[in-house]
Amino acid sequence: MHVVLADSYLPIFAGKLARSILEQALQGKLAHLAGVAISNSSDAVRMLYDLWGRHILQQRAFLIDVPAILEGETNHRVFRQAMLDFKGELEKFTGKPLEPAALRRSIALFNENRRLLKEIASLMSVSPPRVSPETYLDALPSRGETPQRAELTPLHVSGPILVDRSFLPMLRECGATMSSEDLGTGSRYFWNEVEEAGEPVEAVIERYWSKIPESYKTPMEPRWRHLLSQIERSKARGVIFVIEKYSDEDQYDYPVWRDRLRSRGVPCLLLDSELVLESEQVRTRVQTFVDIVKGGAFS
Amino acid sequence: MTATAPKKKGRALNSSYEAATVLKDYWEGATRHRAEGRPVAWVSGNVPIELFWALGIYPVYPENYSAVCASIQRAQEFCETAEEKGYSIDLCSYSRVNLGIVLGKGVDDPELPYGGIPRPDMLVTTRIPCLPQVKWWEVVREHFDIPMFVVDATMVELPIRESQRQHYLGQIRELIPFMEQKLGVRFHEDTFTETLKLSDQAAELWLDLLDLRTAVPSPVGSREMCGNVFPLVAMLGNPRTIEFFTHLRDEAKECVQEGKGAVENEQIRLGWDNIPMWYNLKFFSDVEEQNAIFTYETYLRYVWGGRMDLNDPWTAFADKHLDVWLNYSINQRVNTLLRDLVKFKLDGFVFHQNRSCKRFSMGQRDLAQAIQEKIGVPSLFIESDMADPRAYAEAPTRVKMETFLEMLEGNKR
Repeated sequence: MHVVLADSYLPIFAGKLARSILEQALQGKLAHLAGVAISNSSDAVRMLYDLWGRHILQQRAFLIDVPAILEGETNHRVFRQAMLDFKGELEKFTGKPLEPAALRRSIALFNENRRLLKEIASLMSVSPPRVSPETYLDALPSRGETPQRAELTPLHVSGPILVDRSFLPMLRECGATMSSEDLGTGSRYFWNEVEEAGEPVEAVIERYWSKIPESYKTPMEPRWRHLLSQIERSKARGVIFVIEKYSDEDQYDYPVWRDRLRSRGVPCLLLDSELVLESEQVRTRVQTFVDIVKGGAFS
Repeated sequence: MTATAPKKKGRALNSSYEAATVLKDYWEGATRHRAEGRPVAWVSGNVPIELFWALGIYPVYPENYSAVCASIQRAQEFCETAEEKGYSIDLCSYSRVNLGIVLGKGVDDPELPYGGIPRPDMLVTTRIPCLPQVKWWEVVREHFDIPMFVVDATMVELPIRESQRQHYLGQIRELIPFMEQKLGVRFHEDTFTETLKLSDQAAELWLDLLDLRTAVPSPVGSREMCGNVFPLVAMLGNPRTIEFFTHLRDEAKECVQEGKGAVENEQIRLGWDNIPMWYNLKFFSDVEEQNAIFTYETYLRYVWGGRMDLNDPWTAFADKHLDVWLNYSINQRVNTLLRDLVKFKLDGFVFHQNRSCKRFSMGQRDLAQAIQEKIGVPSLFIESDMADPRAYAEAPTRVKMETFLEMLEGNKR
């Protein structure tokens, strides 16, 4: 999305994601929504909440004001309270209390979706893959796409989000395929289930406290363990990091992950993205990387 | 006059010459502390600094070290080393300078300023100024493999909510035994209270000094004040800070009483938002040749050293550390600016869009709009970086600034 209006409020280095969301809101493209819920997932996103309150006056914005540090009793207590506060705000806003039975049904449904997505993820990791990465990411039934070829080199894709799906066919044209991922909008989003026994609100809160954390959360080790386990599970031979330009949290993680992976003989490639990846330069870099991985220079 | 050195051209206050000595003593003190086998922690801006002095843990500020490197034109080489190691040019330049040193030739490189940065026994940081600060510390921990503690906080609007206060204090109650256990130190409430008194005294002196700059003509400009602020960041609880700030305050008071300004024929008064360009503090003094002066800075007033009501020391301690500009929502920043700006009688305001400090730079357009609409102060935006000189474009910035000053001059006629 071309950002014009949001430039009046956010500098370019706030990142394309935050700026394009604000742009959509300022253009009225999100006016059909009753409200928006914003978290502390980066400094830019947190500021988005403030800007919403100041400039998108007709729409209610909620802040899920949780700590970013997932350690210590105090943070745990504050995290829980922030989630309860958010629930309370939603109840007030909708005029309806959250019914435990309805929440249990929702939890069960979401858990089932998570289990199914895990299954799809495993079908993408087998050789030859039985579903395409596009099908997996869209979580849609296969639309009779060409089955994946066994000779494609399996690669892991890491990062916060993969918006530009043209990257996936381009990867295949270069002789590789995404066999696993730990995207913020991918497996990190669905990997952990909510405990179905016990009090449902507490179970949801606990799930968000202990789930595989995003890059803005500390400590980083659970994220690393997930990344590693996905690579091992899918037998990926290399990792492509797709990181949004100006996403500081991911940009700090990348060299750490890269060095740890290299010490295990896993080659890595970094692609800076501003939501779009389609360019000849990216294609050339990916092609070179795939050739190196196939050549076994790092193994 | 509280003169401690012969007055030279370029400093409005003779006492400002003490700043370099204070800074040198601080860094040499850190090295000595380490050499004597006493604990050293690497800390970041807005950590609960008084705790460290009270516990005998030397707080070492890599951020300040990065600013020092920038001021002596050595930041770029370290930034480039960090970039070679994979750290994006878009990341905070303080962190790139530091990571360039840590991952490059190392902190003991004798060619570094002050002979190097003492190695840490512990890392303590906080999300109060920004999230990337925590990420930077994670990289440092990866390198040194030492204990780390992070103090979390969500952004505030004043008055600070009790739940935010308790969140902060709860973590402090976890941090103290963590430091005791990991570093073999002992917390004594009496020593801590004494440290808070010294901290508050320093803050009072500093705020007095800033208030003296409401006078027309202003006794001291931003260039000098940016050089003087360091003890307010790192040495709260250290008596040397009181001594230095007393000299500054008394001398500035004398100037105001005598009607003596830093600029002989002060015509235009300016405000500044964001961290300065440490490699180019001359930017501030250059305007003085055109009879203009920077006499107000958000960075110097709201980021460090708030006052504390010591009748309730723990509440005051929490509030002081939460009540900082970088932890303010945009609404709070607007309210604070509108509350304080009028008394400085500003003609214009310069917003530094600092690529390295996103938290500081976001929301600036709202601030500019508010001060224009509510108190009629026009603004100029310049884009640059606090430590990486590659982000600064001299010619266009100079032209913009000159045009802005001409416009302000025209407004006054």
